[in-house]
Amino acid sequence: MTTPGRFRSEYVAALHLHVVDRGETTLRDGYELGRRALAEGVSALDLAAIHHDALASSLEPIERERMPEVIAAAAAFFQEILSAFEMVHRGYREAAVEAAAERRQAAMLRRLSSFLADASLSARHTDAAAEVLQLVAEHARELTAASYSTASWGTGDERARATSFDHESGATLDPSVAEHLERIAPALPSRVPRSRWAGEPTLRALSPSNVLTVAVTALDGRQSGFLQLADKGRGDFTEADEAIARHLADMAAAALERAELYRGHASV
Amino acid sequence: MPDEVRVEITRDEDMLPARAQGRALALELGFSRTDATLIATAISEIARNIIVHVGKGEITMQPVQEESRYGLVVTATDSGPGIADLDAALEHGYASRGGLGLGLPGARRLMDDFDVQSERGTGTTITMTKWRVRDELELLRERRRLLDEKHHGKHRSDGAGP
Repeated sequence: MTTPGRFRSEYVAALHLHVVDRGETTLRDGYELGRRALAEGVSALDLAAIHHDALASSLEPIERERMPEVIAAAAAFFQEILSAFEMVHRGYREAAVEAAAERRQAAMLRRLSSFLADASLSARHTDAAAEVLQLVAEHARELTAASYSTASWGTGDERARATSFDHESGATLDPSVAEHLERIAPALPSRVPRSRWAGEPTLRALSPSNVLTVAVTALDGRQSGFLQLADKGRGDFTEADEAIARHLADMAAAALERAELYRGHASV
Repeated sequence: MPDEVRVEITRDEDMLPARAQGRALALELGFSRTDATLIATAISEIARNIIVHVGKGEITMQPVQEESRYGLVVTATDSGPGIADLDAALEHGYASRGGLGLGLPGARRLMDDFDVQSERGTGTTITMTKWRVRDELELLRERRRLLDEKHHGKHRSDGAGP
């Protein structure tokens, strides 16, 4: 990237002014120059070179004993210049982390999709349902960073249920609490944050800090089970977590219905 | 603990006292020069947001103290039209600079906590905080200073912090 001569000369002038003035006005000029450098595509390497040259010329007329204070003032100015770059750099880092998380999520969903296809073809329906629910509970917990998850489907003798814990963190959830959570699932809003548990007497006694609940719904609209996640490691469950849980619940419902169909065909 | 500071923002020049006061408070609270620069930059971005998109508003800077950390809470309020698409404004900035990540998202990334409340026709309040964790030596010195004050009933300055 080439450095426009005008930017260079403005930088030198602004730095010269700052080492004399050392006030907020000249620091603000530095911050504005940094913003402009970004907009005009001046690279960080070019900036370093310009700053070095500008500092060298600022030091030329300075007596030796005053040099440290001029260098310190120039450093403060350079920080202002770089603060705009810091904002953008943090944005890139954030985007890179998000992109990596999305890639990981996509890979896990692909893998789960293939597992579910295999599991739904198990010889016995109860095995198929247990496997599908287990796979969904584990993947949902991992993708949302929850400590605990449970997935259920069906009623009566046909009812199946699977749970998953984050064993690494030593997470546990009292079985009676888990059962209670499942009982009240139809009445729960999809996301109950930490603050709500504390505020509602009926829920206060429960140990999970936050809960995410989505229905597992059959194609004909029957609500046949629930996917519940509890105790998110950091913060509360987000909209993105809820979207993931709904997606997984849909995948589970499709796999479970496919298993039922397969069983019907096999018995014929 | 230093006092709260308010700066009215109506034009570009008002960015200067806001930056200067924010930087001074940050240094007084023991933040490093680098953090003070980042705070001044974040203040500049939200002040610019007020000037460009609303025209008038106010920035308040409030030092806060918790058991193990000091914080500087910066609040920007305006009575403008509100932000139409808050998610987009926080993700990509408010239209200018081709989505470089300056503006509100830039300020958000420089601070530790960031919250925006915006209502159409009512205005916008941005609250952002930078924290400085106090190390054990600092806490020990403060405990000793407090004990000393309690026993002798007099103030003794021993550099235990703001």
